[in-house]
Amino acid sequence: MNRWILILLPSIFLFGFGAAELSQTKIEIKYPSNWPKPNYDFEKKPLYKERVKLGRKLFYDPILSRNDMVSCASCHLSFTAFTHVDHALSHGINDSIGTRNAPVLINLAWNKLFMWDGAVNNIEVQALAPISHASEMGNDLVTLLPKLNEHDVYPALFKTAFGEEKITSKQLLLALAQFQLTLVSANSKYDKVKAGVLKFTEQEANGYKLFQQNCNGCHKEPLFTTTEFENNGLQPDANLRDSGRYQVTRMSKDLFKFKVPTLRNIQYSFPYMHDGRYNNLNEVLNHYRADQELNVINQQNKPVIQITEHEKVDLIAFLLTLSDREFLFNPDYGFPRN
Amino acid sequence: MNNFLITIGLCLLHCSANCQYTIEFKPILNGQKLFLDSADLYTVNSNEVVISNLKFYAGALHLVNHKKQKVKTDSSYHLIDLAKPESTKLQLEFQEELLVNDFRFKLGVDSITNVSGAYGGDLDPTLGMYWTWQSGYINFKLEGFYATENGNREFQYHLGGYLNPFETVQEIRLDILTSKKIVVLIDLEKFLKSIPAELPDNIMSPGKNAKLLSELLVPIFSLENE
Ligand code: HEC
Ligand code: HEC
Repeated sequence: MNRWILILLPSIFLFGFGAAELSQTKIEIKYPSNWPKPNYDFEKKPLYKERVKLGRKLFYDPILSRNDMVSCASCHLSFTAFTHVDHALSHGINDSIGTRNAPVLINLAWNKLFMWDGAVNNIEVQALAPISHASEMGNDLVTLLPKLNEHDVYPALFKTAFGEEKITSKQLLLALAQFQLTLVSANSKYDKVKAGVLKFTEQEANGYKLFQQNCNGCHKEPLFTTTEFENNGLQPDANLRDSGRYQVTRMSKDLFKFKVPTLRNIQYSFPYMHDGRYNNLNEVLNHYRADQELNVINQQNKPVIQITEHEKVDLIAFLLTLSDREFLFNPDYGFPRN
Repeated sequence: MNNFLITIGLCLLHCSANCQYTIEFKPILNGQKLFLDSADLYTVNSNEVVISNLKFYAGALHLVNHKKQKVKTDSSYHLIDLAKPESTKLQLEFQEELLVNDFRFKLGVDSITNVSGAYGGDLDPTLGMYWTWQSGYINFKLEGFYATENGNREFQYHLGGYLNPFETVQEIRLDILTSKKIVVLIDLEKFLKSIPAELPDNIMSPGKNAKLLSELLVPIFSLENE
């Protein structure tokens, strides 16, 4: 009799595991009440703690690259708002150089499209691009999945997160997406001013006014991006020949348009622009101010902004209020210790 | 032998209550069944041609009875891969005996599915029918080469794209007479001959050319004589 119970117990346990929902804990992202609703459909695909945790481990694990050297975090570092500092063009596997600057990973749940040209239409399929890109991680899922399925710890982690026996590409992609969807930055000085907890200095307040007059049309509050594609008048780089959104839509109206990047944590995410051509905010404002770089194609699009040197300083002071140190040093976002 | 009879008997019983249609996709070249990488020589425009890969998505399968406005549908996507013969045969069942007037399906993946994230099963992005650098499914993939006097001339057609105005998914509609065994012929000779000579041999991203070629796929589907 006793022996029967001993045999039965583990099988009940195993059986219980089979039902996906049992071991999983639903969680939600938090954001200020005046923000728009996220674009990602959390009702249809809620976040689960176990999946987010697994996604985080994967994000920091170079196992995703062919030579076990490059992880997502190699180019998207938490302390710099998940971008690749100091590199104009991101470096990847075997030190090959990509063609674009790594963007920040902030408030991705509000994005409609991903990448500078919007080539990726859903965060769940985004990771296919870096994993299979020859100059990023140089791998492909067909080789990666067996590696994960034979790994010491991943099979158990995936099973806890998804309740299924075998690791599939869908689970891998979902886990990575779930972690990245939790990367919400909403605790900057700007947010605290909006919440009535802090006040802008006079200089910041003046900068805010200039911002609303000149920049808010594209870098729209409170996300500091419309998430649309615009041409901000950069002279196309003759070597990279990057035509931006046009590469995806093949429509001439989209030539040289790029996704409007958020300006949250802009202090940390230099170098700037899709090709990392500017090293500091002063250079960025010079671009918006002067007409030295005008070329025929971009002339009509360039938002030329009339501000004095003094006002430039104020505007930068305002941009610095978008820094969110709680985001950069959030213990839930950094390298997983266990 | 006995077993065989019993099986047939069961099948008949089964069908009167529960009517099963089988759909087989059968690619042909020069009017003959196509085999991949075949040494048997097929020719197109008097060049020898070898087909090494043929894969496509068939979705939203419908069997339609016009009078009763009845339809039997299967909303999932099926990846038909000539390298996996079992994938070329599908089944649909009716609960009642019904005359079916036509068979319709979508050649390719619709735009909603294209933008809705990661899928498994036949839509798994590891099956070679998903572009990784740009989201979106390849609807129809045909690869091979012409053996010409100046060596092999390869061609690769990866046709897809869900964004307007270059959306590539097509609806195929075929009138059915009586049979419950539907054999859909795919005439690749007709397709290859219809491609305008000025187009490149490699069309592997969404756009104008992919859309044009996708439209040329529609007339190559027909029913084998019942
Ligand atoms: C070699 C550097 C590199 C690696 C490694 C890398 N990325 Fe990126 N990432 C980039 C670059 C560059 C872009 C912009 C690409 C473009 O616009 O074409 C980008 C874009 C993104 C975006 C789009 C953000 C937006 O707002 O549009 C996400 C999300 C992302 N990466 C996540 C990841 C994940 C997850 C991994 C690991 C699986 C990863 N990245 C690995 C360099 C990298
Ligand atoms: C017409 C829309 C538009 C306006 C107006 C505009 N921007 Fe931009 N901004 C963009 C686009 C698009 C990019 C990305 C361009 C690229 O990389 O090719 C960008 C990039 C930036 C960047 C670099 C961000 C990064 O992560 O690399 C900064 C900083 C910036 N803008 C600040 C401003 C400021 C400050 C103003 C107002 C003075 C302003 N922008 C006005 C569209 C606009």
